[in-house]
Amino acid sequence: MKKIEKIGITICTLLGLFINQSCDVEAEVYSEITPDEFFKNDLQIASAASAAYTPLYGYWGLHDLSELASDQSTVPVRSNNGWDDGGLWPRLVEHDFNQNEHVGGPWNMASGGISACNRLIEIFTESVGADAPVIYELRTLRSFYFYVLLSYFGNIPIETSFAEADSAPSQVPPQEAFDFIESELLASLENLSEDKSSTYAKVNKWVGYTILTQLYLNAERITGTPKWQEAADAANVVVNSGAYNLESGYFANFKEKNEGSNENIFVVPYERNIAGGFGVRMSALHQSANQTFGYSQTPWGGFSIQEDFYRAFDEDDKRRGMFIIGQQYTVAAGPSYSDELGFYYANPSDDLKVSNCVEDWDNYATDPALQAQLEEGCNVLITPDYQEVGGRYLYRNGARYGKYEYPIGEDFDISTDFPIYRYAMVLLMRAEALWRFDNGSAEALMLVNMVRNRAGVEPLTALTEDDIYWETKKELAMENHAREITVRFGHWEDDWFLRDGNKEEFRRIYPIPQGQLQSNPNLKQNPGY
Amino acid sequence: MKNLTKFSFLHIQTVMAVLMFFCGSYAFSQESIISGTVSDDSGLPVAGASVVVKGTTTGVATDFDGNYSIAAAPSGTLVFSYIGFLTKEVAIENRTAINVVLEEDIAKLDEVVVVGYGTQKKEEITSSITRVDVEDFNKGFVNDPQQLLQGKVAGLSVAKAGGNPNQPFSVRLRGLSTLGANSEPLVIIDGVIGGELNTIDPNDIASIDVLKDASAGAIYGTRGSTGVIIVTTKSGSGGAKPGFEYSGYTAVESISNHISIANRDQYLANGGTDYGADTDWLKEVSANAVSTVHNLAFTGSSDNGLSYRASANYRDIKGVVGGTGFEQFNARLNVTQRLLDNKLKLTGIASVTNKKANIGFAQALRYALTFNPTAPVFENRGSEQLGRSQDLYGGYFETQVQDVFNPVALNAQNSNLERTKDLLANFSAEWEVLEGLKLAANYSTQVSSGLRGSFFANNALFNGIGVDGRASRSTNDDTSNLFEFTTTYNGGSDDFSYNLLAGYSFQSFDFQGFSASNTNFITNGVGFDNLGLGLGIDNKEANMSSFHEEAKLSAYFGRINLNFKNTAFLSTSLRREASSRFGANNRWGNFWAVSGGVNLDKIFDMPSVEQLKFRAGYGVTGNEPAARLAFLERLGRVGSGYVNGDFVPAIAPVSNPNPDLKWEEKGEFNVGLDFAFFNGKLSGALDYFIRNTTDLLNVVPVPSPPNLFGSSLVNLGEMETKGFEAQLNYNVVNTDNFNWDFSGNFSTFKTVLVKLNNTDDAAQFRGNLGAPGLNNTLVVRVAEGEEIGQIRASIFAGYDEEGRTEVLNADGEPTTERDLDRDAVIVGNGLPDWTLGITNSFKYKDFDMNFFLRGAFGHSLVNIQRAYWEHPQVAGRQNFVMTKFFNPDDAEQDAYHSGYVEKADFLRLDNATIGYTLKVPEGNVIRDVRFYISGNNLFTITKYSGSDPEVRYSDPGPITEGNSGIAYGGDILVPGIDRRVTYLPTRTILLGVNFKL
Repeated sequence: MKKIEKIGITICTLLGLFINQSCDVEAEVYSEITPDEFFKNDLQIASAASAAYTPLYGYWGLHDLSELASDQSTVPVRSNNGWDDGGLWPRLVEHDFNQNEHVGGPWNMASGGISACNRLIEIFTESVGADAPVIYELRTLRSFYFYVLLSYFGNIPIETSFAEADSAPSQVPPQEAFDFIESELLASLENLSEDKSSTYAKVNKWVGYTILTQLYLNAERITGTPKWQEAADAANVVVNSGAYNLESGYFANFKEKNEGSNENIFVVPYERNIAGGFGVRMSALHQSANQTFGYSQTPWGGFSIQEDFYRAFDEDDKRRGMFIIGQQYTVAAGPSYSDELGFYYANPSDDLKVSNCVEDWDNYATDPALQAQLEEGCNVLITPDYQEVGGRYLYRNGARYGKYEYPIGEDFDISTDFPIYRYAMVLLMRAEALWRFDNGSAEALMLVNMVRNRAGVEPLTALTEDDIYWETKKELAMENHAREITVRFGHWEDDWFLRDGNKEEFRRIYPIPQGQLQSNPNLKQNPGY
Repeated sequence: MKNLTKFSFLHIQTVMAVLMFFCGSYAFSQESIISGTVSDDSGLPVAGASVVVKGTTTGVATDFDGNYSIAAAPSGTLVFSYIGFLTKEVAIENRTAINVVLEEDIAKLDEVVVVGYGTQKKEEITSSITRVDVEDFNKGFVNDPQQLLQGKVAGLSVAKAGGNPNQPFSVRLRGLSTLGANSEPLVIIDGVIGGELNTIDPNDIASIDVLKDASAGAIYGTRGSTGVIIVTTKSGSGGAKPGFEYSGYTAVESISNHISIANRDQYLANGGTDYGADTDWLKEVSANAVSTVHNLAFTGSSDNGLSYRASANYRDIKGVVGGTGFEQFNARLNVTQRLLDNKLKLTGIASVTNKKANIGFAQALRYALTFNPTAPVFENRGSEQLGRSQDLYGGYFETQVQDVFNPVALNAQNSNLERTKDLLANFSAEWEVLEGLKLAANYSTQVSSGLRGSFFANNALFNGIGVDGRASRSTNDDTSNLFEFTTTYNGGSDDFSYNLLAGYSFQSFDFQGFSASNTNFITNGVGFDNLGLGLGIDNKEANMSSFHEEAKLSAYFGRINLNFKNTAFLSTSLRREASSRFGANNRWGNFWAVSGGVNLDKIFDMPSVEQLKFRAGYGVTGNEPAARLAFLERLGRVGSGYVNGDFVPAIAPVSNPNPDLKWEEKGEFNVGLDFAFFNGKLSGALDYFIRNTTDLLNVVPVPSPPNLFGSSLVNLGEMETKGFEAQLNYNVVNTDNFNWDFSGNFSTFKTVLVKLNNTDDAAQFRGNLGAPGLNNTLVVRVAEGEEIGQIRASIFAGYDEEGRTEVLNADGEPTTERDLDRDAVIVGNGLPDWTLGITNSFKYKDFDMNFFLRGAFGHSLVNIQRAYWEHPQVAGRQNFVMTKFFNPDDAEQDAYHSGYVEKADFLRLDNATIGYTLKVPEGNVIRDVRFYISGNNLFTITKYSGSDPEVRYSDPGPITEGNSGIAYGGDILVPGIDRRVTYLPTRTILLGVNFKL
C-alpha cells in the first residue's frame, strides 16, 4: 500500500508542477497557535501564566450556590411563571440539591484552575526551577482553588501533577485535603511578593495569608477541629502589614472603577467586553430597569433580596444603598452611584416614573393586599416584601441588587473588579476568631465597630454571636460568602423565605456534579445525595 | 352578386368535400396511405421508429426527420414503437395523417445511470441508486436545486419549515448516520466532488442521481457516508439542432397559514392592555411577494466536433416579510470539443453565481404574532405622557416588555444582508487510447466568497439602543481545487464483459474568514458600510476576528464491474483515502464495497416481466470531522490575563492532541429488487437496508489533568438505522390523446443510538425550550439503545379550580407541581414513521397536468408557541395564541406537558401545474410555446395546530431576541421542536411560459 501511495503522490506532484500545487495531505496551520511556537519570550510566558487566573472569571457563578441558597437572596417563581425553569431555581432555594444543577460551573471553575496551575507549575519548574517566585504564586493560587472545591464539595481529589496525573483520582477525606492546603500555603507564603502595586488581581503574600485565615476560620466546619487561634494570627499578618485600610465610602469597593480601592485584597479583574463574566444586572434587575439604565435588552428580573435580610439593616445603615427599592424612574431621573450612597436617583420626579405593565392586574383584582401594593398602577414600585398569588410572586417583589455600579447604557456584563477578599472581611474574620475563644475580646468588639462605624451605624458595646453573624452577612452581602458564613454560624438549617425542609446536615456540602462522576469512575457521590 | 357567387362557390366546395369524405371512405375501404411524424415529448423527431399495422407484418421505419408513410385499412390500428419509448397503438379511424408523440419508457431499461466516476446501464446496477430526470423534477416555485428532489426519492428527505427564501433546505438521506460530522449528502457536480449547489441554477440541471447505499457511495470514501447526490448539468450534446430556449415565470407568494392568535376584542376580553389601536401585525410586516425568474439558454454543435450550451439565469425572489428576498444572476457555459476522430473529448464548464440577499429578521413574524394587537405602529402618546421623548425608538411604538418588540420597527430600523459569489470551473479531457481503454484527467477549481452585514439602528429597541447602534460585517473566502486522473478499460465478449477503473484524486481546500463589529454610531445613515465611524472601538465594544485554515484529501481508487450474459452482475470497489483532518496514526482509510445482482427474468421464463432483478451489496464509507484541525494540540485565548495593570490575552491549551482521530465508519448492507412488468408500464424498486455507523465523532468530557483540556473529539459510539424504501411507477393510461403516469415512493426507517459513551450512564436530555419560564425544560431524551428523536413530557391531566395546569405524577395522581425528571414519559417522536411522495402526470392533447402530493406520518412536534403563548394570562405583556385547545380559565403564563406535543402527520399538495402547449406550425421562427400555471403548497391536511407540520430534522436551539433567527445546522439529535421563530409557511401561485427557437 505504501508504495501505491508514493506512486499516487508522485503522479500528483508531476502534474502539480504545471499548476504549482503541493500534494502532501498535511494541512498547513495558519491561524492556530501551536505549543512549539509559543513560550518564546517574557510576555508570552506571562500570558501563559495568566491562564491560571482566567478560571476566576467564573467566580461570579458561585453566586447560585452561595447567595441564592442562603438566607440572603432568593429566586421565587415570578408572576408569569418566569424563573420556574423546570424547578431549577425553586430547588436551589429549597436546598433540594442534585448533581445536575448549578454544581457543574463551580466545580469546573475550581478544578480548571487547579489543572491550569498544575500544568504551568510543571512547565515553569522545567524552565525556571522549582524555587522561582512564579512557582510559589501558582502553588498559592492552586491552594485557593483547592479551598473553594473543599468548601463547596467536601470530599475532593488532590491531584498536583499534570502530565503524569492520574486520570481518575480518588477523593481524600476533608482532613487530608485541609492539611494539604495548609502545608502548601505555609510552604509558599514567605516566598510571595509583598509589593501590592505590582500584584493587583494576583496572588501576593497578603492574599496568601487571607486564604490561610479563611481556611483556619472554617476548619471546624470542614474537619471538625477548630483553629480559631491560627485564624486570628493569620489575619493579624494582613492587618499588621499596613498594606490595606478601610475605604471611607463603603461603595468605593464596588464602583465601576474600583481598581484604586485600598481595601480590596484579591479581585477578579472583570472588564466588560474584554474579561466578561460578571453578569449580575440581567439576572437581578427588574424588567423595567432597561428604562432606568438605558439598556436595549430587558433584564430578566429573577434574583432579589429576602425581606428579613433587607429588614435586618438599620434605617441609617449606609450599606442599604446596595438595594434598589421603591419607586423606579427613567434614565432622565439621573440614576447615580457614589462611594457613600451606592445607588440613588439624583432628581427623581413624578413625571419620570418608570411604567411597566408586565404584571397581570386583572388576575389579582380580588386581592386587597395586592391592590394596595399595586395602587401605583403600572408604575414600578419595588417592595421589600413578597405577595404570594398561586405560588408565584410579582416581579416587583423583593429589593434588587444595587451594590455594584451599573453604568448607563451597557447591558449584560459589568466592569467592577469583583472583591474576593477585602480588608473588611479580614477584620471581621479576625474579630470572629478572637471572639470564638474569648467572648469578651475587646479587640473583636473594636474590629466589628470599625466596620459598623464606616457604615454609619451605632457602635456596639458588647458582642454576641448574632452580632458577628449579622455584621458579617451585611458587610459581605452579594460577595459570594453568604453560604459559608451561614453554615459556620449554624443557620444553614434555619427556616427562611421559601425554605422549610431539607434540613439534613449532608446538605452543608453540595453533590459532586454528574459530569465528573461520569468521567471519573473513582469519584464517589457525597453521602446523602 | 359577386359576393353571393363567391359564397356559393365556397359552399359548394365544402359540400363536395364532405360528400367526398363519406364517398371516399366507402370507395377506398380496403387500403389508404397514412402519413405523419413521430416525435418525442420534447418535440424532437424520432428517427428509426417502427410503424407496424397491427395484426400484419406490414411495417416501415421513420426517416431522419421522423416522417413515415404507410398503407393500411382505414379501420385498422397502427403500432408505433422505439427503444426507450413506450409502445403506442393508434386507431386510424379513417384518417390519413397521424402525428404521434411517443412517451419515454418510464422503466428505461436502457437508461444510463451516473455512478461515481462513470456511467452504467440501469439494468447492470447492483446498488441502490435513484435517478431523477429533468421531466420528473419538482415544478413550480423552485429556487434551490435541492428542492427539485423534494419528495421524489424514497429515503431522501428534503425539508424546510416555512417559506423563508433565504433559509436552506435540510437534506438527509436514510436518516441520521453521524453524530459529530456533516449530516448532508455529498454533492458532485459534473464530476466535481464537493461542488457547491449555489453554483447551479435549478433550470440548468439535466438529471440528478442519488447514490443511496454504501456499495454505491464507497467510491467516495471519507465523504460517502451521508449518501451522494450527483448532479449533471445540461450540455450541448452532439447532433442536437442549434436552438434557443426561454423559460420564465412570475410568482405571487403569500402566507398560507399561521397559528391562530387573538384579535383585538378577544385580547381585551382576556385582560389585555388597551393602547387604543387595532393593528393586524401580520399584515403590517408581510405582503404578497411578487417574484420573477428568467432562464435563457442557447445550444448548438458543429460538424467539426464542437458542441456547447450557454445559459443565463436571473431570479428576483421576494419573501413575504417586506423587503426580504434575494436577487441572483447565474451564468453557465458547457463546451465540448471532440478531436482525433472523436477519440479525444475535451470539456470545459464554467459557472458563476452572484447573489444578493436581504435576509431580514425572521423574528418579525414571531413578534407579529405576539405584539399587542391594540398597539399602534407609531407612537401616539406625547412625550409628557411617556416621561421620555416620543422619538426615543425612532417614533415607533414599543411596549417595552421582555422579548416583545414592534415587528414593523424591527424590520424597518435594522438590516441583515448577505452577498455571495460562487464560481466553479471544470476542465476535463478523455482520450480513448485503444479500443476500450480510456485515460481521463479532470481539473476543477471552485471559489465561494461571501459578505454578510447586519445593522441595528441606534434608536432600535431591538439590539440597537443600548449600545447606540451596532453594525457588523463578516466575509469568507473559500477555494478548493481538485485533480483527478482515471483509467478505464472495457472488455470481454457478449457472454462476459467487464469494466475496470483505476484512478487518483487530490483535492485541496482553503478557508479564510474575517469579521468585525462596532457600536455607538452617531448616525444610522451608514449602516454597516462605515464600521470605523462607531465609537465602540474606543470603549472596547468593537470586535474583530479572522481565521485561515486549509484541508487536503488524497485518494486512489479502483473498481471492477463484471457482467455475465446480462444476467448476473458483480461490482467491487476500493478507495484508499487520506484526509488532513485525521490524526497522524489514522491518516489513511480503506473504503470498499461489494455488490451483485441477478436478472431473474433472464433465468426464468416469466411472461409480461421485462425485468426482475435481485441485488445485494455491502459497503464501507466514512465521514470526516467537521473541524479541520481537531486532532492537533492547539493553544488559544482563554480570556484576558491581567499583567502589571494591563490585559494580555491569556493563552492556554484549547484542545487535546488526538493522533488517533479518524473518520466515522459506516457499514451498510442493502438488498433490493428492481422490476418492470407489462411492457414497462409498471416498474419500480424495493430496498431494505441496515446501516451501522461506528467510531462516531463525539465530543466527550475528559478529565483534566492529565488531559490539557476538559473535552476531546474522539471516535466513540455507534448508531444503527434500518429502513425500507419503495419506488413505483405506473403508466396508467396511454392512448393517442391521453396519458396518465403515476409514480410514488414510500420510505420508513428507524435510527437507534447503540452506544454513546463509555459509561453505563442513563439518558441525556436535550432540547431546552428556553427562557422566559421554560428554561432548563429539556424535552428530548437521548439514550443508548433507544431511538433517536424521543420527545418526553408529563401527562396533561387538565386544570384545577384555580386554572392551574395539572399533570400526572409517577403514581398517576394529578398534581400542579410539574417536574419533568420525575414524571415525564415518552409521548412522541420528532422523526416520521414513514414518508410519502406521489406524482400524477396527465397529458390530454396539448394540455399537461401534474399533481405532486407529499406527506410525512407519525412524527410529533412540540408546539412551543402554544406552550409559551396559549395562556390568557400573558395578555398583560403581549398577544396570546388561541387554537382549539385554548382555555380561557388557564391561569398559567407558560407550561409544558403532553398537551403541547402534537401529532403532526401531514399530506400536502406541494405542487399542481397545468400547462398548455401551443403547437406552432413548422416554418415559423418560434417552435412550441408552453404556458403554465402552477401552485405550490396549495393545501395541507393535518391536525397540527401550529403553523407548519413539516418535520424539523434538527434543532436551532432556544433562539431568543439576540439571534438572527436563521437555523443553519443545529442539534441533529433533537428533531421535533417547532421553535418560536419558525418562519411562516407560504403559498405560491405562478404563471410561466417556455418557448424554443
